[in-house]
Order: sequence, then structure tokens, then C-alpha cells
Amino acid sequence: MWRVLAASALFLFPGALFSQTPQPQQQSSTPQPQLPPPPIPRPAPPLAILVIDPAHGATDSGARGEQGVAEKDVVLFLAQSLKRELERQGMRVILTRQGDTAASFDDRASIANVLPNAVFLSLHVSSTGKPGIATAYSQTPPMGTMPERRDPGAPVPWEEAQLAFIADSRRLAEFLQIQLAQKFPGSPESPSSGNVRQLRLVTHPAVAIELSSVDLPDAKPLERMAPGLTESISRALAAFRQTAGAAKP
Amino acid sequence: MSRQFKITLAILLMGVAIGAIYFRGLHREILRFAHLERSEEQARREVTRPPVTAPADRKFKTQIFWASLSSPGTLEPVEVELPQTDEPSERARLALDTLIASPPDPEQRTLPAETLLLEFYLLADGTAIADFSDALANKTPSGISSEMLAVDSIARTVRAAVPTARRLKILVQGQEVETLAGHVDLSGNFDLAGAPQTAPQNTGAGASLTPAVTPGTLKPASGKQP
Repeated sequence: MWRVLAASALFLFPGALFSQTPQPQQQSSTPQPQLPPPPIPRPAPPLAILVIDPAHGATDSGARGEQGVAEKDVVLFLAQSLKRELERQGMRVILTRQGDTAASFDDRASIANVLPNAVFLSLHVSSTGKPGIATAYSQTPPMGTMPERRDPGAPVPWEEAQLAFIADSRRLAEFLQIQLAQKFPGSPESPSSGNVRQLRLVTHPAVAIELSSVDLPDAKPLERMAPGLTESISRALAAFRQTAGAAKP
Repeated sequence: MSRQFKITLAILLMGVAIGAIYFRGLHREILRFAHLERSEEQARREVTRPPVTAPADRKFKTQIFWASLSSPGTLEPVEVELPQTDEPSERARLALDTLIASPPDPEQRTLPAETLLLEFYLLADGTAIADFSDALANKTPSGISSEMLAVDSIARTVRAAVPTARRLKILVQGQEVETLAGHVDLSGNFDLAGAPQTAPQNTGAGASLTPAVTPGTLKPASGKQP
């Protein structure tokens, strides 16, 4: 039922996805004595589903510390912890892998790309760097002008999936980095941009968060970053949603 | 019995002595062969590369981008003088070899020491192609930050040495690879013209690496006016 409502809302108000038009609730809440009330109450736009991507898996252990701390295990632990906590807050969360399994970049992107409205977060742990800090990355924009966002229904070349979302991804990365810098002292003040393979394939706002580092005797200090990460993501997503309309012409 | 025992013991001792001498020699041989094998790539590189013909006393100045010690995660240009050559691709080769071989401090290294630049081509349309040995993919520390730093140091060093290069393609053992070490995309080209495509933007106010290559100003969505 929810899906039908969501789909009809999308069909009726495709602009609500990107908030280029005023929010439907705002319209209905404004008193309009001349016009009769709309016959059907307009459903709220669907909440974005958070797709969390614990990077690597199976034979690909990602970064590996000399003491055996493996990126793939740490990010899976963090992703599961984030899912638990954020779902408790009422968010819908999907993981791109449930256990120590392999998934291609394309597989992971597909999980998000089939959803009408999602936010993609890829979790990573670096090999090197100052311990205990977190950096958000969004896709580097191409040279020249930013491409116009395509019609949401039009097909998009797989390799260019992220192109139309680079500005949104950057905005999400900025909100995330503000929070991360507060939770994890020493983290940079502003996010980075990079040619991250995984982000390039996603047709939604997509950000990679990299913690540092696997160069530790055990994974406990990294696992203890979970509550700070949860709060950062929760707050950043709230700010991201609130400003979804303001950033657009 | 005792005499036989003594003879046997003497023969055995002699055997051990001969063995010890022989094994020492063998060990040296093995080391020599290991060294030969290691330098095979080096030899190939020497053979396939035309010698630098310019007189050694003429030098050209360029910038090599190594990791910054003062602000980790960013690059810092170092002015170097390399033997003058009129061939732009040769300049890039010399610069990249220096980038790999001679960081001022081990902490400033951006590419693994084992990496070799196998080939460097400069096409007429301004596309630079740098082909590295597989150590680049295998030995670069896996991670977005470390891989970006590696790619960025290559791109900026090439641009400083060959200002006419417009874009850079990085190959590993002559092949296109999906990522450098699991994160950073190498399937496309890196834009060398204008703002650096790969610039790490994580240092806020301190992001300006050098006046010539200030990281591109990234406009968040709010900067896109109607």
C-alpha cells in the first residue's frame, strides 16, 4: 500500500523528489478559501531510503593493518550497528552486503539505483593517516559546467550515473563533514572530492566516508566510532532533507 | 671400531666443512640472481627508452609533487632541476622517475618505491599515457585518501613537466584497470587542463598547494543560481 501511495505521489509530483516545486504539504496547509479542498489528500513524498555500503568483502579485504585489522570487517560491523540505530530512529536502511560476501561495484550501485529515492553512503577505513578521524568524499565534478539534472525517468549511461547528482552529493558531504568534525576531533573541516569508483555508478546523492585507520592493534577504537557516526549521519541527513528545496533555483 | 668411528667422523666433518663453504657461495649466487630478476623491468625500461641526447650541463626546472609533511593528506610542490631534453614525454618520464625514486623524506612518498614507470606516451591531442608496473596497484596503500594522493601526485607532476598535456590516462602493466587499489577510479582520464580534477579538497583554507594549481573551487548546489 505504502509503495502504491509512494509511486502515485512520485507520478503526480515528480518535482517533489528534487523539490523544484513547492512541497505538497505546504500547498495544502495554506488556506485557500476560493478553491475547494483537493478531493484526495496528497500523500507525503516518500522518505529517502538510506543505502549503507560496507566496502569490500570476501577475498577483497580492503585495507589491512599489520596487526590483522581488516577494512572489510570493520565497515561491516559499523554498517550493521548504523542500520540498527538508525532504524530505531525510524529511518529505512538497506545494506549492500549482509555478511562477509563479495559484491561488485555495479551490484552495490544497483541496490540503490532501483529505488526511487535514496541516499547512498559507502563506508571505508584507510590504510594510513591520523587515527580516529573521518572524512567524507563526494564525486569530483567534471570539467566545465555542471550538467543539468536529467528527467528522472530518462535512461542514464551507467558510467555517468552520478553526474547529475554531484551537487547534491557535495551538499550531503558538507553536512556530514560538519558533523564528523565535531564528533571526531582532528577531522577536516570541509569534505573532499575524489574519483571514487563506487560513487560514480550511483543515481542518488552518494558520499563515501573514510575513517582512519587499520593501522591499529585491534579494531575496537574503530568500532567505538559507531555512535558518533550514527549521530553524524542522522543529523546530516535531517539537514540535507531540510535544505533540499533551498538549494535549487 | 674406534678407528673406523674416527675415520667416519673425520669424513663427516670434512663434508660439513665443504658444505659450509659451498653453501656460502651458493647463497651469494642466489642473491645475485635475485638482483638480476629484480632489475629485469628496469632493463626493459632502459632498452625501450631512447637515451637522453641533450648535453648534461643543460637543465630544466620543474615541480615534483610529494606529500606534504606539514599538512598530511595534501601535496607540496618541490622545485627540481632535471637534465634538459626537447622531448616533452622525456621530461615527463624524468619527472615521474624522480617522483618515484627521490622523495626528500620517506614520509613524503606518494608512490611505492618498487613502482616503475614502464612507458610514457604523449599523443598529439594532448593525451598523456603513463604506464606503470603492477607495484603501483599492489603496493599503494588501499584507501581513498592514499590512492587519491598517489594519482594526484602523478597528475600534477606530469602537468608541471608537460604543460601541453590536457588529460592523463594511467595504465598498469599496459592494461586499463578499474581502480588503483580498490577505491580510486582509473578507468577514465584525469583532466590536466584548468582546475585539477583530482585535487584533494580536504584542508579548507590551507588547500592552496601552489599559486599555479589552486584546487578548483567546488560549488555546492547552493552556488548554482537559477
